[in-house]
Amino acid sequence: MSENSFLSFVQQLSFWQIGRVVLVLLVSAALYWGSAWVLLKVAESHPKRRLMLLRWRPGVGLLVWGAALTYIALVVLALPTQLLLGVLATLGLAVGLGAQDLLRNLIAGLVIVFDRPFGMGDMVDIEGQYGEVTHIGLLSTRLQTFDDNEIYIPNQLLLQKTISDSNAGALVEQVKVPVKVRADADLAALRRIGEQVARVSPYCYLAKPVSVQLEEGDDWHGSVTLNIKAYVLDVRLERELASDILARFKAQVPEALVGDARRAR
Amino acid sequence: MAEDWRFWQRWGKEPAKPPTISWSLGPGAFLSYDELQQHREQLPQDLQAVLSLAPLPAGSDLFVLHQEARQQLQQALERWQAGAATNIVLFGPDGIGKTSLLNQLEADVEHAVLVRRLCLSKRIRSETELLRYMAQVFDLGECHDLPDLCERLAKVTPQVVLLDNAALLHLRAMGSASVLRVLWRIMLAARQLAWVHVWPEQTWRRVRLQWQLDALVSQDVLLDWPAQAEFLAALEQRFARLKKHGRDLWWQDAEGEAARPFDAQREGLTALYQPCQGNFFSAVYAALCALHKDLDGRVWLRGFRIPEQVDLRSADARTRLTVAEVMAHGSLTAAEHAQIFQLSRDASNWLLSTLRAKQWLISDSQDDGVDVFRINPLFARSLLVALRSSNALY
Repeated sequence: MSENSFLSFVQQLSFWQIGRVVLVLLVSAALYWGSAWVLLKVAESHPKRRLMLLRWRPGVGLLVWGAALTYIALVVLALPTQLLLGVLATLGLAVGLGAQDLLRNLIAGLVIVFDRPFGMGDMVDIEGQYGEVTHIGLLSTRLQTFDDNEIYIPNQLLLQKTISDSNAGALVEQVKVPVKVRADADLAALRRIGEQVARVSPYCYLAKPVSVQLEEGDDWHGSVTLNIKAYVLDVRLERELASDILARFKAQVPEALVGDARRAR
Repeated sequence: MAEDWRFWQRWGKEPAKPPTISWSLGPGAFLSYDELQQHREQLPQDLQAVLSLAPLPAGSDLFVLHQEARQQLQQALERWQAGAATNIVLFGPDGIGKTSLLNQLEADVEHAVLVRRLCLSKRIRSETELLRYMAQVFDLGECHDLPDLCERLAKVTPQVVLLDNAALLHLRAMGSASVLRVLWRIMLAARQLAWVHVWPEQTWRRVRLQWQLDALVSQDVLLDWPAQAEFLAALEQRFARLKKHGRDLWWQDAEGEAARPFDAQREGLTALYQPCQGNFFSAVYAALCALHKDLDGRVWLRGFRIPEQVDLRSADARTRLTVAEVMAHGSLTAAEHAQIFQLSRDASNWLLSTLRAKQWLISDSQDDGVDVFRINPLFARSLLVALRSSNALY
């Protein structure tokens, strides 16, 4: 692309064309935010289908902005093919030299939108950051943690790291509550109690099984870890279920816990 | 906990809004459950009896709904007389008419077989309490333990045992599971008896899920919301009874207009089905709200009003789960709620009272002055739909 042809194209731009570009961008933004708002409202009104509906949000955004940019380039500005290729090549070169990270994030964002390794509303663990996916953008992904922190993760990082998705689009998820107990306690009775405390928790989803597994402790106290596994009825109540189970279990068998003060006396 | 308590206090102070009316016909007002009880007491006795929200007594000609279920139960008891082991679960939503049906069944079969009616009035929380209760109702004297009770029960004369309000045997708390385990052992031990036990729908679904009881139950009968024809037949039967008693009802189309004799067809009893969502309790409730007696002794129907059905979308998780637990238990006291949610009793009382102020729950006082909270049957259907859609009930 010669500099002259680009300058002559810019000189030929009319106010009407610029106005149309602005109008298309405004309409696209309204469509994007409108569709995102509607999806969010519909998802909140149908809790059981919340995650399935939210998964559409990034795709809708991509569709709206992709369509808008294509319309601007081909219809509003009617860019000549030569110029279009030139712009793309220049952009590619500029990005390749100066904005490699941006490009990587963008490509990773596209991969996430199409490949869907996780979706909006999923509870994921990325590099020790655990929370609900609240936004999947082209450049970054946002997580809302249980401490009410919002964490931005560049998309390119998501493709390089191992991601653990707790619920994979389902509203219920399994919650594991590890409790350390004394190895010389009645472990069979503790397993029964562990199962009972999970079942009586109002946050436990009773249509899925509750299980309790034992694991050898790795400390010198001679402890055993009791893993109480139960399903929570909504992923957002995960911490409530875990706290509820832990509190009930500790209240039921304080003497079986490692480091029990009464026993130490 | 202190922060938690402040939250409940702040929330509890919000003035409760009366339910929004989604459908109305003619003038008149909607009354809350407590107001309705007072209003009902001012009405003539015959009206109170015909438009009663309480279970219908045995042999009542107002019992029109659930005839199919009635037949199923009768046939099952005939099979039992022929020698089949019988353990029937009768379950359905709040306010559907389970106790009314049980009353009719008792009247239907008591001339042919021996019937014993067990009606729990207080929650049974331990194995010992259940053993004591069973020994008392079957006149078995003092039983030492479960094998002793089972042995004595096996010798009891064959009879039909109607156990109403079985939800009081279930509490989502540590140790309460043993009560149900003992109940099933008693039922298995006394197989010469025909057991018919009544559960709220959600309690039974939960109990069945946890205990995998299908193999122990010979038949389960679900009372579902009535179809339009059945619904209207039951409603018309009630108004026809009033006419039979020579009671003239007057209808007023709008405020200030002259009254004219009430015509069930013309005033749109048919139209009640849709806004009530088939909930017959709502229709009787609306009719009771509409009834007024003037100074001349004339009884007026001043329009029907159906409140908007409950929408739990904006409710927080604890409110949703509280309503779900009340529904899944049939009824809860503040102490039981506190135990389930690990809250203080005050906080539980506050939360339940707020839900009562919203009309989602109603309450009765026990003999010891403790309030027992139940789902307001007026909203039973919409609450169930909302709770199922959020996974709180299954």
